Amino acid sequence: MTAPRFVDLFAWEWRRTGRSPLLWSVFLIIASSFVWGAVNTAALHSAQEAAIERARQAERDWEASTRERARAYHAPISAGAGEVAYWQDPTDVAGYSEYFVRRWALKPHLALSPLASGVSDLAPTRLEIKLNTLFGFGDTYDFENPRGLALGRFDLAFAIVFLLPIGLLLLFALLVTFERDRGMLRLVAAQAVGPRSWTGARVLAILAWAIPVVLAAMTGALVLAGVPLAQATAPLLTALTATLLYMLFWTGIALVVLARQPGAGAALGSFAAIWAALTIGLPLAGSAVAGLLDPAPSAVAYVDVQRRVSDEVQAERDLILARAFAARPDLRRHSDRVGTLDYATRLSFLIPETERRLTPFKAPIEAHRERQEEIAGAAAYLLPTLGLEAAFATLAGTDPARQRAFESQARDFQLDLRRRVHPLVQREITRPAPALPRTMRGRLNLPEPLTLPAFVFQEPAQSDRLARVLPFAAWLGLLAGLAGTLGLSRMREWRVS
Amino acid sequence: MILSLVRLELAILRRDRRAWWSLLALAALVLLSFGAIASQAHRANAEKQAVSAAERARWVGQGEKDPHSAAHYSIFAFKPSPALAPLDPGVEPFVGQSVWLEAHHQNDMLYRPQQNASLLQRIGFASPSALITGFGPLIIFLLAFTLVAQDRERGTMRLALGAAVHPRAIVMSKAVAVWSAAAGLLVVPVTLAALAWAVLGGALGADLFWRALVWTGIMASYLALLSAVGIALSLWLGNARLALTGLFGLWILFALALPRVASGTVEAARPLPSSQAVRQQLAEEAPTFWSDEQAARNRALLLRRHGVSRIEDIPNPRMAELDLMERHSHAVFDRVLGGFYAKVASQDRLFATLGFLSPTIAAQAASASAAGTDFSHHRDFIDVAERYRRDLVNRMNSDGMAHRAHGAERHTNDQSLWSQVPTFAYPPPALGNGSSSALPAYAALLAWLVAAAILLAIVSRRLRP
Repeated sequence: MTAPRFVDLFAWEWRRTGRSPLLWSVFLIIASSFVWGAVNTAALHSAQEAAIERARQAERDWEASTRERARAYHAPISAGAGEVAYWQDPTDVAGYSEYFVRRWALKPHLALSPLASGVSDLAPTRLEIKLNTLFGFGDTYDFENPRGLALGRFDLAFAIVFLLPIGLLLLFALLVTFERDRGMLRLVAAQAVGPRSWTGARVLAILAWAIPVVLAAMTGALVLAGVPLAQATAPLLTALTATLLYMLFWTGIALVVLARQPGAGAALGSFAAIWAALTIGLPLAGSAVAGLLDPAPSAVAYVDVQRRVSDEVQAERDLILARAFAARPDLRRHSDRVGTLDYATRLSFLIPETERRLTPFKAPIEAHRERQEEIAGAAAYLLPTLGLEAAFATLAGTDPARQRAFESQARDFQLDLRRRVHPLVQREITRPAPALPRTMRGRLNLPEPLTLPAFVFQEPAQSDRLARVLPFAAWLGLLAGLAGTLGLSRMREWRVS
Repeated sequence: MILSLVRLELAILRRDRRAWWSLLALAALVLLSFGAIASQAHRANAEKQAVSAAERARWVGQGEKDPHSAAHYSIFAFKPSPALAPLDPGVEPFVGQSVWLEAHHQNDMLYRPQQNASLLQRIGFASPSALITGFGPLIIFLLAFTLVAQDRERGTMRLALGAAVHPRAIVMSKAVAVWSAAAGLLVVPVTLAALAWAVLGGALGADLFWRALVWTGIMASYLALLSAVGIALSLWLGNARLALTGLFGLWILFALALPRVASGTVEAARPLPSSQAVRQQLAEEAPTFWSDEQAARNRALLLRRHGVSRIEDIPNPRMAELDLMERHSHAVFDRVLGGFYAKVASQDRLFATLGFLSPTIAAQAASASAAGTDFSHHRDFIDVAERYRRDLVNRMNSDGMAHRAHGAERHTNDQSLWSQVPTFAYPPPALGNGSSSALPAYAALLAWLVAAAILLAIVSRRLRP
């Protein structure tokens, strides 16, 4: 008896598998979950884009209102309209600096953002920048129902990372073990075909159907979610490649389990255990270990420090100002004005000093955040589920690294605004206060509101994102190859008694 | 007889290493997650207490100043971690833990524990409740499959049914065995651990005890209905493969897909306005710094209210204007933020109602409500803190208005006034007072339990040797 050629075996299995209602039921569920996930995330991001646009409009309206009020306060004082208080007066440079300089730092979404929600449901896409907010912007977020956040979002990444392997493993467990459960494996074993060819052909047949269907469903879901494919070709191709490798990884795992030629119950039990270990058990243990080894600095303690430092700075206010005046040749002669400065002018000296004193407490918080991201990056190589989720977030532009870049640029933007405005505020110290009562409603030491730049997010290059994903994709390919080889190498003999 | 049958079924379960070890592994994970959350909560609560005391000392010792400046200085209030959060942290990791109660602002609660979580921390965050509701069905279905479907495949079920006087007793014993094994290992130890933790921390009171009891009841009911469904489906479906496929599919549907789908559906059906829109509306309707034109309107209103024609006839016009704007802002906050939070509650109510589609949804919503960690409990803290803020600011403004100050004149006060403001304290709502949005979840869980019992009864009645 001659053994059948593998190609013939595969062709026969491919035709037979393609007629399985189970196969198409699983594909239908997977494709539906892809569409739901992509559309669901696109809806979130679309709402965030709308909020970004409203913030832009609000910024334009605020600027126009500031200019209009500045023009109005050029009028002379009359019986019905007196002096405008400095905090209401955009023509007073000190009042302008504290109460009128407001800008939005905005982080738009990338074209492929429906691929993964990443941190986009937790981290803000808009940061209000004022001159004297400590470290650029306050702790802020866009409110999403916390129940939904705790549950996790049903996004495309969730469907691919968590549901796709279940679908694949279900197909492998039920379609490959059919003969074992029906007691027909002995008949198969009696033929001139080894377990490697027989199992390999069937697994390959399932894959031959699954790969094109899954990749097409993924692309279709993204199209339905409104992704302009032409603008996202390279990241999309990378995401498709990563998905393909992920499917091969789980196929390799399946081959290792199926090498023991179990029944459906045993196979599904093993698959469920491996799936649960990779998706919840090991991340839970990893997160617990990371938390134990490197506990997060306390936000509550930071509130305490902030209050203490703020009190100290207020208590030493005049001393700090006197030192600052003494260090500046242009202000040295005006040290008598230290006690008479208005609140906004004082802030231009006190806020940088507060930040200087808080930096030793703030820096460990940022350093911890970066370390945790590095740990997560390393863990991604041990946990392909985490790795793929992180890779998708990177390709979608919803990853923590892009968020950190955004926040860092927002802080730089604030410092740039301070460099433009604070010197004008402090220059007023050198000008003697007018001896005569004001005749105009506004102070007019800033006749026109400044034309300040708008924030523009400097998007990291697309090649950087791809470069961050490719090593993981290569690693995933290697793992898939190793698992597949291990599984096939164990399928030497039929295990029938 | 039933008891001896249950003991026999438990012995069979213990012999099946795959199913039994899976159950033990999940039980270990449940206790591990409890320990991790409990230790974090303990550390956080100790810090909150210490910083709250420091805040009080700062408030009382802030020195002599204008009362309105004192209202701006104010205090930070910290939300204590609910005592049963280690069983089910609910929304706690995703809501702020602290709020600054300053004049003019109803500030957002800040410092969400998961705000800057890495992907590993977010994926790796699991609670006893999440593990039991998410993976309990998988383990229970595996146990049920072990007891019934394989029994049928081997033909031993037919023998047992042929010899039994009441086939229902066999079926019941299998369901009770699965349920008692799951509840005994997944729910009871962690509840006892929570009570012991509360005793050690001196937090055990009647309310906490009842909450723990209700939580145990919810989880035990959930596991009971899953046991009944698992046994019934395993008996009802023709062969082991079909039973396994059905149970596996049911787990994916109930525990993995439907909760997230339901959450997305709720968001789509009852969308929340964006934070940007809410903040913009607050800034427009209750600005912290108002324009000179608004100030002119305020002066006119104050003159009318005081029945005078000159601003000099109002004892402290600056403070009167601040008070006017403050009280105006309260109405705006109640309308805008109150409406917003009502929409969040409405979303949660709809989510709980969708518990009729999946028992996992019902168990999740009911569990967080019993543990005191759902949004309605968080809202209670927001409201208590906001009432305290308003009382504090109104008291400061009233003191200012009672003292004359014009032009460069300033009225100040000192510790004698600051110490009249009581220390901020937050008593969490008693069981039943905080979670009306979760009521549909309790009803859904009960309906599932009854339906599962009926299903089991029907299937056992149809059993033939």
